[in-house]
Amino acid sequence: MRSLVLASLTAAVFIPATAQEWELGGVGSYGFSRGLAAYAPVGTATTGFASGYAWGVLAGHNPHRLVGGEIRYAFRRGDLRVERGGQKATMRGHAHLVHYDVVVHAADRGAWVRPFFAVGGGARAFRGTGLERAVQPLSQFVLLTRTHQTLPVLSVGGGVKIRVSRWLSFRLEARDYVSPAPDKLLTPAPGAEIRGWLHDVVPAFGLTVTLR
Amino acid sequence: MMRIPVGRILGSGTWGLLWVHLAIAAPFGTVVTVGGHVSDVALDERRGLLYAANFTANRIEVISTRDYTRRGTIALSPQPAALALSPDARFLVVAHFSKWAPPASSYPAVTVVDLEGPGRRVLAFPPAEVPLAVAFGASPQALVATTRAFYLLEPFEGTITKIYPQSWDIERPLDGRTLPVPIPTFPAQIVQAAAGVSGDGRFIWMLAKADSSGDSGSGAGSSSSVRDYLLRYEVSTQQLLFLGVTAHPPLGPRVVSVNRDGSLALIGWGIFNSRGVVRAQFPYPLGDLHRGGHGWEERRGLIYAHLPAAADEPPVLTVFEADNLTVRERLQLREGLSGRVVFSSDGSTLYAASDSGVTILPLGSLSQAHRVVANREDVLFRVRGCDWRPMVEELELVNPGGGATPFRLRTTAPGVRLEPSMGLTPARVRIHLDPMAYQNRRGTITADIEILSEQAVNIPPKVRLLVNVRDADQRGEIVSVPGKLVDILADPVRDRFYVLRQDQNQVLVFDGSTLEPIARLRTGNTPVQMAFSLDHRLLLVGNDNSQLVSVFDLDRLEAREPVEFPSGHYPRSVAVSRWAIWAAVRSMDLRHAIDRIHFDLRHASTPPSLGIYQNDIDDETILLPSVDRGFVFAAMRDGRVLLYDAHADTFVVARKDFESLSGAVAAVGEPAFLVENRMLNGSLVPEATLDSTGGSSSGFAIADGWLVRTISAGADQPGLIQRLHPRTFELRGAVSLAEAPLVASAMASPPVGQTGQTILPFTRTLAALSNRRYLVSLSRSGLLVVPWDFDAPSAAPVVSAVVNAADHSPGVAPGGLISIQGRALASTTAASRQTPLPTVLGGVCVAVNDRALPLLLVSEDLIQAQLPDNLTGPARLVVRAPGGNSAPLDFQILPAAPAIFRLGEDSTPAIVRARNNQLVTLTNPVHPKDVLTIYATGLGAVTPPVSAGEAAPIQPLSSVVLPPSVTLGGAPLPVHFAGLAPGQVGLYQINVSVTDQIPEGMSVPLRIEQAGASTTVNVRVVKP
Repeated sequence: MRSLVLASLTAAVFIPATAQEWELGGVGSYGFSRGLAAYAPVGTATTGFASGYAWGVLAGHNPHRLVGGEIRYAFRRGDLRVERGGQKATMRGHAHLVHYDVVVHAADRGAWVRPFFAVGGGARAFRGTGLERAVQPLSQFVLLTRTHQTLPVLSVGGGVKIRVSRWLSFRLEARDYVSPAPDKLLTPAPGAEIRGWLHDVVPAFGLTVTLR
Repeated sequence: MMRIPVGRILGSGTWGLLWVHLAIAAPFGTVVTVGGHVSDVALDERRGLLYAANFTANRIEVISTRDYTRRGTIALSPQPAALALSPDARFLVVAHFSKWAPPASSYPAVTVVDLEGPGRRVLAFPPAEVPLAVAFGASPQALVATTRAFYLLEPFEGTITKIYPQSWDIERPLDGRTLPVPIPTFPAQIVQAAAGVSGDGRFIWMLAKADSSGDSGSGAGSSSSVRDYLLRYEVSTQQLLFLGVTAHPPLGPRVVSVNRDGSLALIGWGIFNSRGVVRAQFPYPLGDLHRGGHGWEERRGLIYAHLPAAADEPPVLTVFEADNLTVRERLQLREGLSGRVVFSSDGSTLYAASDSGVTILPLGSLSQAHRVVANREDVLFRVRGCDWRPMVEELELVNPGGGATPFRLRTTAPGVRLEPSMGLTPARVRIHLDPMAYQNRRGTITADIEILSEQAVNIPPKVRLLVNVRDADQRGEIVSVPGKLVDILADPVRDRFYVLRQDQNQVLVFDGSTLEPIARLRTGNTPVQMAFSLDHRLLLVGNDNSQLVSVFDLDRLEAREPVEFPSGHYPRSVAVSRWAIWAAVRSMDLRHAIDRIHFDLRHASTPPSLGIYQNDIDDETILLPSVDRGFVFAAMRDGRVLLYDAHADTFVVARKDFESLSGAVAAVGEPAFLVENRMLNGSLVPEATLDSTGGSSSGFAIADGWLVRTISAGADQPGLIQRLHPRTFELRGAVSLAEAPLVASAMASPPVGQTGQTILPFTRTLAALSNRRYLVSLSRSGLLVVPWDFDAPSAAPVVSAVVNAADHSPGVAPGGLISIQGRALASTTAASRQTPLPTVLGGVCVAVNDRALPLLLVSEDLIQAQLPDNLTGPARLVVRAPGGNSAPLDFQILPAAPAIFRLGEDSTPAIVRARNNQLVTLTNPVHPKDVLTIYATGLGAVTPPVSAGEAAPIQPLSSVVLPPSVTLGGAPLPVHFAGLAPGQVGLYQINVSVTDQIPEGMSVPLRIEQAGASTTVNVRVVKP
């Protein structure tokens, strides 16, 4: 977590200040996480994180009339899970995301509606916080573990900013956060493996204040 | 009746020893010496006085009942023989016995003393009419019996009226001795008459000697056989009922005690009813007219009696239950009683004529007197063949009145220590047994614990000590039942069986499934044998000291009206056939016979013959019905046998093929009978003989068509039970029994006081229960219960390995839990939940170096046990199971052999994280800073030590002597505690904390090392 903050601050220092527009805001969202396949000799199960709410803050900088950048922090609530058939095991968990995206707008700064595309990267800190149990269902596939693990994350998404007033905008957007599976939390059982990347699609709604 | 008690056969020396024993008890009561011989007493409660007729001093002694001192005398005509106080307590009537040989003159008379004035009146009788007895009923007139007639005396007017005979129609007049008499002769021997009054005053009973000097009067019939007369006088109707009696021995003591309503009277040594039937009698009377006395205390339903069985016997007052003379208690007297006993109206004080004068017993303050009573009759130690640890049983001694009475205990049993052996009541005595003293014995050994007290007034019975030593392959569970058990019957209709306890005159009723006693039925005195009625609704019991067969309703478990037998006939053995019910009786006149019972009339009669045969049998005869009740078999001690055919209603076979017969008897086949080891066919011809090399037959039974026999090789040896073909006697199976079944010689013992004992030479000691679950045998300790399939094949155990119970590795250490692997280790699966753990479980015991191991589990292929806490080095293990003993297995016991327990199918190590109190698994891994508890065994000696089988204490904790080290992934973990888990047996725990220096991984080794031994399990570690 500390490394995330340090990286973010470093990025903010080096972004040059020009005739520019600054955005500060917050978003609320709900993440939909696609499950990963866990393969074991006895069959296949689905593991990953449960969908859950997320909230975040952002600081954007638009030095160009169409291109800008944002540094964002998000807290994503998501329980660890493994499922197969009607059987299921879960453990409470959440994640912290810090990432910087390059934002390309499709309309000029003064436009009331500005669609945009964003791509970037950062880090995601997964944390399992629930109770460990000696006996966990589907433990022959995945061992849900109370620990933490930080992994890089790729952020891809887009949306539309709608200016309400000269300085206030709201936005609708969606991002896909892609990262490797956190194998310290979703530990494959001996003889099992987890394949695929973790995709977390997060549609969000936000409000920003524009400073010029 | 003439019988020699067993004790007397041993000679007077034995009684001498008994005298020494009995002298160690404090006499009860007070004696008032009068200087003469007291012939009768009368109690005047209104004046607080007791009058004692001093026969030889020719006076009435007047004794205060408040302070027991002599207040004076009343001089009278010579030889006052009998006293009676009028109901209004005004007149004391005294009968004077005056029968002198010429040339002396006789002046028989009756004196009426007016206690409210100076007057007295002497009423003379003709010289031939000597007054013998006098009594007041609920009437102002006294009944006076003389040698020739009976009179009513009106004391106020001084008149006498003859009421009997109008004509003399009894065989003999009454009589007494002619004076002078040889030295010494006592009043009772001279007068030979006594009277008693019912509690309600409605009846007066008298006993008097018949005149044997020659025929006189108009009596008819055979006169020479009548010795005494019993007379019952009904006060209201003035009817007199005579009954001639010839008694062997004579009816002594010469005392008559009557119950409340006059229906029964204790006359001499027997309780008679109005038909002259003896309801119960004292088993060993001397018959001396002047020795002893008795009184019937109706309020308590008790009879207090001094009945010596030998002339030189110390005086003992026995308290009997009035209905059947069961002995309740024995009290030491200061001197012997010699005649009448009277009670105060509240029953609190007993006054009796005694050797020196009068004995006074404060019965009401008996509870304040010193007495010692034990809470058990038997103490049984059960020693299993591989457990020789000292054993302890407890015995409580109390004073029933609640006081502190000093006592001493004495036993000669080897290996037994009594703690304390002396002290004050109440006391809890611990009886310590060292089984090593019996290491080379098998079976049940008996001894006695004597309870002695110089201050106790009672004579406590001995406590019987039984030590049963058995191997695992000896069958039968012992049910301790004290007393003299002489017969057993299985109920074919109900799930019950019945056992006859002779010393307490009871039928014990047991539940056939639970083996618990459910009822006690009171019989006559000295019951001998039982029989079922044809419909199995009733149980008949023959008695040897009652002239009746007791009858019980088995549905209600209640007594019914008994069957009365002819005078002098004591039914010892009873058999019920389809047509007739027979009883083999002992006869007082020694003409023993088989009587026929007329059940609906509740009486029996003696047929003049048994078919073509004289009705003359041995007094030791047993009757048995055949299986289908179509026949009755009679076997006699002298070798004769008889067979009754119910269809023909006559005796059809009589033979004598043997010099004598004895032993187990049974009916088998249709018909066929077994006696000892001989089979007699339907004509009682000996047909086959069983092998008798194993010992004496004790009992037979039929189980599932097979013949089952129990054999005794000696009273203190293990017994044997066999299953045989019922026709060919081919042996199908046999096993050893835990103790000997009873045989007749083992049943008999020296009688104690007036507790009857009649042991026929024929025994019936084995019963096959109708539930087909058990066979029950009478045995040394009471009952021996054997499973129905006692001879089911069971292989000898085979031990293949001894491993530790945690992870089944070969290392084992002292105090550790072990698994014994093999086959045929047990015939059943059983587990123990109790502590200390038993050393015998499911009939199995395990010994290591001859020390029994505490057992947790036994099964066919696995035994779990605990090694002794102080044994290391070479060890030899033997498993003893019902199938036999295993071959010994040698192994090593290491000082330490730590092994972590594995749980479940996954063999999860028994390691618990304190954070969540759950087992460490892949989904519950170890984290840094965790505190772990590792459960293991084999960590060896602990301090303070805990004996094997015992649960570890909570305070103080027992820690291991050899400290272990614990590493996780090579990183040492601090050990906070290593020792026994509190409250558990053989389970150790090690508490460690997890440092940060541990490596992470899915399978990180956790290793315990101790004294050169080690064990390792793999656990998952996650950091952080």
